[in-house]
Amino acid sequence: MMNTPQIATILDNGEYGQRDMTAEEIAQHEELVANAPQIDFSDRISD
Amino acid sequence: MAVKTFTAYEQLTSSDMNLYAANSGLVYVASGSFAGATQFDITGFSSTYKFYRLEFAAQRVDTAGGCVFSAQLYSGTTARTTTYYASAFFSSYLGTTGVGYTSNSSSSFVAGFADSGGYGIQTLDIHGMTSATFTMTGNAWDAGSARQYMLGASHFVTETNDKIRLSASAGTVTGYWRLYGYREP
Repeated sequence: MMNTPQIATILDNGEYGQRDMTAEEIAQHEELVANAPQIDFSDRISD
Repeated sequence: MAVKTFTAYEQLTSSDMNLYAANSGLVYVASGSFAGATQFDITGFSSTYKFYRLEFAAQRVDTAGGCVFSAQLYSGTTARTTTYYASAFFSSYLGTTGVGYTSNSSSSFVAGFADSGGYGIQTLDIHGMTSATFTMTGNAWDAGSARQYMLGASHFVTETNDKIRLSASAGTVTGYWRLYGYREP
């Protein structure tokens, strides 16, 4: 089972921390990814 | 402008220290860290400062490869999803140069990069989060491709925003950020 994607943000307790992304946040993220500029990683130094 | 030259044997009052010394130059505003995250927010913006400096470092941690951070401005939970203009120029360890990307009235702008090969670092100056149209300019080092980017972006809408949300275009990332304000006169 895949883990829920996480976001680091201000939590309900007012502290900065990490939590599961909501369904709306996941949808917005997927839209951002789909429209992200195409970056050339062809020069990437292999691990 | 609020500056003062202290003289020999002059008494240092708490008022003077707070005004001229303790909050001079770049003033710490906020910070955060993330581990295995898909998105992270830069928070702490307000009308206290006109100019902000953002530093963040990140590494991709799910698998070998790179990713780009697509960013959007937010006011509370409301995302600004249109009218971003951006571009970047790069040079690389192979001696190649060129235009890294352009955004022509897009739904987001690029704020940096991450790679599994090592931490990339971004140094970004920001203006207009609360008082004018948002503009950003700075540098980013893509550790995986050993590319130095000069990048910038604008959001041509005059409105108040208090947060920048960054989304990794692939995988998950680990890192941290620091936000500073340039001291006002």
